[in-house]
Amino acid sequence: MESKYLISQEIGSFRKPKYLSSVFHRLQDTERLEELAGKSTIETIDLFKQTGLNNIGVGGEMFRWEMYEHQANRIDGITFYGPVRSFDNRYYKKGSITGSMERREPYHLDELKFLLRNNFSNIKIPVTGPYTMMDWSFNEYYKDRYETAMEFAKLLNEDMVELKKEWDKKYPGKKLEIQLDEPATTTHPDEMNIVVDSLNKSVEGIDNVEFTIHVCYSRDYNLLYDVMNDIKIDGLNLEFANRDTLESGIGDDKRPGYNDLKYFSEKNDGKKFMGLGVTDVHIDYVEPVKLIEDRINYALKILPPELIRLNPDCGLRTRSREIGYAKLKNMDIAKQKILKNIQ
Amino acid sequence: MKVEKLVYGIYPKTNDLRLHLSRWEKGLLPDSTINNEIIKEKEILYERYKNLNITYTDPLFNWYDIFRPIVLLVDNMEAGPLTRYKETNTFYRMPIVHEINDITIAPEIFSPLNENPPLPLYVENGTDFNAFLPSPLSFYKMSKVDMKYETFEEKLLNIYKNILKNFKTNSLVIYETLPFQKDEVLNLSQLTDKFSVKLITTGRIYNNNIQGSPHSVVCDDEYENIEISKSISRVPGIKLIDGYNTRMESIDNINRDLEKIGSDEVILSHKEYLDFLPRIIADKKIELMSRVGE
Repeated sequence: MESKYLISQEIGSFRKPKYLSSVFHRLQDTERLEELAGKSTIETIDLFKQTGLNNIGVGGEMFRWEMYEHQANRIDGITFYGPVRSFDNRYYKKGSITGSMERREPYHLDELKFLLRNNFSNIKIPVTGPYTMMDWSFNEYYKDRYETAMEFAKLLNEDMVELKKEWDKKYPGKKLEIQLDEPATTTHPDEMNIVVDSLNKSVEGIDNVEFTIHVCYSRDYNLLYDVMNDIKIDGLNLEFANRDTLESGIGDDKRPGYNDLKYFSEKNDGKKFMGLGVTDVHIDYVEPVKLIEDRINYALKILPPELIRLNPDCGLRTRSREIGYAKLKNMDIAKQKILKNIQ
Repeated sequence: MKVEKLVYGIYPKTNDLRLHLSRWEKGLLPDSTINNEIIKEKEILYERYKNLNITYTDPLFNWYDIFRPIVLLVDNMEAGPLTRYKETNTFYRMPIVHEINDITIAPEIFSPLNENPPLPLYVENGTDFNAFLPSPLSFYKMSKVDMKYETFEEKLLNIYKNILKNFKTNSLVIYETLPFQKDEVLNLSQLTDKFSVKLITTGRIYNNNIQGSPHSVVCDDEYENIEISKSISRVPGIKLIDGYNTRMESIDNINRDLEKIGSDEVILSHKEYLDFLPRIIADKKIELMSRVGE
């Protein structure tokens, strides 16, 4: 029987197989692309199952190219003038809001329908949150950043209502899991009110859904911990491994990446769980089982096991499928070893 | 009123150059070829600036961030982890500075670098050319440094002087990318003695933040800033073009804001370098700048 402790989960993206990535843009909006995305989703879920993952997400986001662009492309009122640099020679499409925004088509309904047709129920749907959509867009139309984020929240709410309706047809009464991806959350410390209000607006009136928020590469998670009890979410899935050392041990000095769990625990109203990033998605180094065990055991000194979930820091699309697999596998082996002691 | 229009810092690349760089990163183009492509694109832009009567620095198409080539040129500096650039969705490699010795690579000639397209730092040179360099103060605050600020500033400005000597230039643009704290001091005396310095500041500036006498302090549009700029520099400067938004500015509004400064001569520039915009929008913004004051 599956343990209720240390549930393991994917964060979102996983490296696409070459047969999909090489034709993704060329075949956009064709049935052929849907076929290939479906095929690679099934293959990726098979791979996830072999690693022992409890929650398979949406099978590595094979239906999406990029988290911002996927949603922005489906919204009227957003114009793309060209790519904008993220770092080095990496670029992303940053849209300009040039008119009133309306959803032209659902963001993720096709993907969910595919998963339901194939009878997957242990899923978690990542959606890009309203604050990040606002922060990553140029605004030429709305009054200010607050109004822009709230407009994105309204559109996301419409989308998630549709997702929930579809889910209920297949699994009535069963909780749906949705993860709000908000990497921009703490980039403007004086805008945490916008984060809170826009997230709450997004989830408004949607019941029987487990909502989580995913944040990564923040300079200060405490900003989020300070307001998390005001946000209607059940848990946080965060990046930690990237800011940690590769040395073993469970002392504060060996686990600097996880030190601020203490502040999380202090601030937590007692109900929110923490999805603990235990493997770094920006290095090829496959963290040994012992190191991952140490990271989990350090967290267990601060939080009870029912409030800890395990995940990679972020989507694993940055690594090859082989390395992604090895990282997830070691996460599961570490988890199984610790579970023996807990139970 | 005479209005000098100044474009500084990293300028967005064309799609062609992005594709060439992508091939170079994958090892499909040799250093010499990517260098030629970069120079070709820079020269096209230089020509455009000249036609628009715009004062410019090199567009820095071969700078992956505003610190990287400097870090790679100087002994005992290294490019550290990817770090968020201010409050943007753009990242730079945080400089890790153990010591500042001399530059070990000639910055003015072709030379391959690790993790960055090849040198030269700039394509043009000579007395009329404006070099671009990041302010030591922001450099320090955005790096991990094992020394006191005063020592860092002195040593880095020595490096800068060597670079400027190699390019035989008399003028440069220094970019202060972070806002000043009230008690912080940027001492440019050792540069301003010999070079004409245009200092681009960010946010509020306070009396005593800047030592030395820059040719111009180009600041954000706040009354106190303008007053300081007028008092400590020969030509006041103002940033009225938004480098963070695709919305186009109104020429009438810009002309009105320039008039308010009440100076015979003024420098007009942009907030943040234009690499945060799509190329097509950056091109439109500099074209708009060229029409200001007509």
